[in-house]
Amino acid sequence: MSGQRGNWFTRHWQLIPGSAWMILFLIAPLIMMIYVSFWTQTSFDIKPDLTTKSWQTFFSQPVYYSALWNTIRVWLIVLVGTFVLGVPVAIFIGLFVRSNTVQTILLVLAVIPFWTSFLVRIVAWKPMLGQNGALNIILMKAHIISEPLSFLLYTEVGMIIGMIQIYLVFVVGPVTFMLSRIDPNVIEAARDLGAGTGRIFKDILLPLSRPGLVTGAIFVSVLVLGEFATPASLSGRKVNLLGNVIVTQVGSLKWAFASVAGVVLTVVIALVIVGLLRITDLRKEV
Amino acid sequence: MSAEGTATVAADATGTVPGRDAGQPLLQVRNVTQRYGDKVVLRNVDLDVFENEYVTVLGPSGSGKSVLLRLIAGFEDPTEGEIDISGRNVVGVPAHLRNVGLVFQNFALFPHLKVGQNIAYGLRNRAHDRLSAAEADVKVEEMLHLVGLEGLKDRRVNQISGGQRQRVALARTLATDPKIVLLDEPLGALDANLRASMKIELRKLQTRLGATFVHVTGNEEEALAMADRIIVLERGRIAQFDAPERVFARPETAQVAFALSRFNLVKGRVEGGSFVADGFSLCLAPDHQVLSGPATYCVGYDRVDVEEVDTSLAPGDCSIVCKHVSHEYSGATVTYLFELPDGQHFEAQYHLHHRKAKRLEEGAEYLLRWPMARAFVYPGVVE
Repeated sequence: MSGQRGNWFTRHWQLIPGSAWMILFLIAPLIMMIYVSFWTQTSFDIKPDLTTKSWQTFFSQPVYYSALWNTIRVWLIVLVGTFVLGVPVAIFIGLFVRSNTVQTILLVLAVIPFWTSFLVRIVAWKPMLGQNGALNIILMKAHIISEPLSFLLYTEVGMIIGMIQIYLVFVVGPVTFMLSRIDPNVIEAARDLGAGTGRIFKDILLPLSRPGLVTGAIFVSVLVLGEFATPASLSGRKVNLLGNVIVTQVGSLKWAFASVAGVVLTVVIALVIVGLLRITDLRKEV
Repeated sequence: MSAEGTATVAADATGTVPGRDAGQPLLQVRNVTQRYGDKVVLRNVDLDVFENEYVTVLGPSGSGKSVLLRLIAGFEDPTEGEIDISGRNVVGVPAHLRNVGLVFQNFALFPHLKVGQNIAYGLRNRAHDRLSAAEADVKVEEMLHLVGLEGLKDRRVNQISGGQRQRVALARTLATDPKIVLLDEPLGALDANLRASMKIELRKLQTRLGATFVHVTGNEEEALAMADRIIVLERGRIAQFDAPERVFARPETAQVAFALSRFNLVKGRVEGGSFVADGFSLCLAPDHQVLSGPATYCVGYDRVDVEEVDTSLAPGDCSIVCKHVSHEYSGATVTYLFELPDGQHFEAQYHLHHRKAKRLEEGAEYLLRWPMARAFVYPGVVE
């Protein structure tokens, strides 16, 4: 018996640091969060007496459950937006730019905004989108509008514009990478066999860049679903996401309720990732 | 200037190839020049390829042979000139509407599709004449049988060997019944055994399908063995375009002889009706004596006889006495290496079926002789 245990240990001891890390910083906090979500919360205190009161509050009060729907809606809009803008850029850099140097330069240009602080990037949108902001000035000078647009800043529109810009690079990067790895001869072979551009996109480029598309979607999804700073800043607190609920509740020391929102958010993110991974098995592809 | 000269020769030659109906050529490349910036890759290329012909394009890397294929396939358009397929100018017609099949050097199989799906790709996705899944399936089975890959239909392309991938690439192209099949160094990625068997098979396939093949290669053996006619490309120009026997019997330029790697090329000059180099001279046939100035003397390895120094010469023989360096035995042939008085190399190759091998002493002097009529002199010096 002891010999076998020794064998097990010598064979598997390398798993220990990783497992310890995961248990300490992922599994244990998750269990703790679920546990705390059932604690009893009073105005000034929290007690480990189990109750479902926080859960009932979350799903009965519109201000909270609508945060869930808001999160999912904003996530979908931003995801579609980053793909609509990011994929063409990736196609241009990954397929049409043949020189490796130019490819790298363009990718670095796409990443440069990312070198500034997250908060700076959000706040920088204010002078762009405001009533007297750059966008309104340009549109008025170009005589496209006669009065400044007021729906740009401190609205959901402004928040979504900001988020799309901030997260665009997470789509451009992986998709460009996958596209640039496609052998140009393979695309030429498809054309040589008689396939038009549409067919080549659907049957060759789409499947071969799918791991990049899924990676990009996972990046954007995880980041957007957990957002709280951009809505707070650019929507003027008009849009409440799950992240904002958590921040507010933690801020007022409502740990049980914050845990409920945390569990809900974790479940949503987990479902989204599992769903995206069903599209392609990243381990098999790369 | 010389390109126009060779082009005329090529055009004349097409009419005289035995067994060919000199009808409308299937493929005509007319005065095509291709430039990338200042770099001229193809220069005034003119060629006709007829239906059911197997043409090889021989040239070293950088001679423009792959570019020629890409122009015919439609991936690029020539800077100047015209390309006609079945009498119709196709410059500007995109590749997928040309019905020309290109087999890529690296095969360029679709990595995410199975063998059968690769072969069916053209049939299912081409712009016109698209087949249904069932129809394509029949054709796929037929092609798998044709290239000897029965039973591999559902394999992934990364689960099969290099030789099998080559066959899939070929089957994928042949499945669409292209008017012209272009092969870009198709045997380059295969090992020696596979190369030998694919050589025979490609030729068989071509005969069986009655298709027109244009096969680009850097390997002279392949070019000679497979072709009805060989195009020898030399720095973007056609140096010679003729039947392999004729190219081999009478290389048009020193570069052609060099590309065939079966000729001694001796550097020197023609002076007063004979070929002279540092410390020796070689005899010339009367029709070569008109040249003067720097020149290259050319005689096939297998035209050279090795004799004892005191052997008497027959009339019409050229000879030189030089030092034996070493020999190379390759099974069917043995090659004797000699050093000319000025240090240039000279080889004599004996096909062991026809001539008996000689036992030579390294470092000793021997008399080499060859028929004067089999030696050529070209103006200029190679390399």
